[in-house]
Amino acid sequence: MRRHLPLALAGLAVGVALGLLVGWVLWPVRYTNTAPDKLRQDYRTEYVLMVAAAYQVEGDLEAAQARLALLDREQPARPVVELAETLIAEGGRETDIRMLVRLAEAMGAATPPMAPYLEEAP
Amino acid sequence: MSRRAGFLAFAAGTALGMALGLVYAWLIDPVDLYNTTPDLLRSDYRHDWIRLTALAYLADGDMERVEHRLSGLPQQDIQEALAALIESYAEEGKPARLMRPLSQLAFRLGVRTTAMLVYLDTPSPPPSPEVTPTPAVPSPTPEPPPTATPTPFRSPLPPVLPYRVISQTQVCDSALPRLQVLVRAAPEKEGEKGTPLPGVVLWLTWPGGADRAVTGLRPEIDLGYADFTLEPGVSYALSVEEPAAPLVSGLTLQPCPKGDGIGSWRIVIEINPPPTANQGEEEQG
Repeated sequence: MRRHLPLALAGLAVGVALGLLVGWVLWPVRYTNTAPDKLRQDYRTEYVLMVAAAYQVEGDLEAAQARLALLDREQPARPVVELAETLIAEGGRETDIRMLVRLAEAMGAATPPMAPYLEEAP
Repeated sequence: MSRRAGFLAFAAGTALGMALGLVYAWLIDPVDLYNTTPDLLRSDYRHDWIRLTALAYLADGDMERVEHRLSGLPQQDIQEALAALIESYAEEGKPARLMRPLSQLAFRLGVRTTAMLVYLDTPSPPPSPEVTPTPAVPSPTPEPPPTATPTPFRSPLPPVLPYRVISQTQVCDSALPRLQVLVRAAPEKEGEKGTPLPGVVLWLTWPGGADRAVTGLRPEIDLGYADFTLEPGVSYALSVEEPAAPLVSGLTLQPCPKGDGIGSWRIVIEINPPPTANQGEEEQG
């Protein structure tokens, strides 16, 4: 029996390698019920932009906050502020920046870099 | 014997190892938990993603973004979510400036609902205030009350509108109840018959639905002719070009006076040329 132990250990190693190959590469777990916080970064960016656009169209701050809480439960405004500041720094689309700034302001999270985009009071 | 035992030991090790590997790869440390795509979102989040895409389109009008954001999502999900959005917006009475682009977007994506039908292929509203069926300036003399008999019928709309109803008559010679519409250009001289106008878009709307027709598709009847099928017990409104301002409303099928079935309606509409500046001044003066 002890004579065959090396063979069994070799088989174990081959089996583990095969299992990882199947489980990670050939047939990986595919999540189908994910939440927005699991989205890839570029889709998270799109999500935040769309929430800001929806707020512009519908003016529903509560809905916007509920959607953003799916990305950051503790600080829902953070993704908006981060994206707005990134677009401002990188010279992104002005319409996008304005929508984000408007939402950030409505959530009480406007920051100094957003000042040029804040609408002046009439 | 020894060789066979060695093979069995190797196979058993491989099987055990593979089981361990799969447990690790699928349960302990699975891939793709992060960096997912919208098509992997839970159903309610996926529908909200589609709804957000449509709302963002209303804000920026960027079709390329729409295509990118919806790529990879099941067509059925897209259509269901957009149809639900349009229906809810219609129920909430959202303005045409939102309903029109939303309906056009949905139409491009294969959605067909009755609520969106009235907003398709209609011109954008002019920048001037919207025309309402009631006169903006009250007439100094009270208008006569509407008569119970439908013929002849004069439109209560103010004459500044380019369309007016010349007559509305019940026709009892048709097997299938229809609304027959004849559209004519206003004659230059009073008493003359106007020229039939093909290519005029007509809208028939009713609670929960709408239909559209264009004059001139049956030239053997009349170049300005178009018709709609009517159902008993439904109240219809007829509009020209824009469904928001009906020329005739409360139109229902009625039994023929001689008791020979349900009658069709024939409505003649006259389209006036747009008033010139001088005419406008004269009317105001």
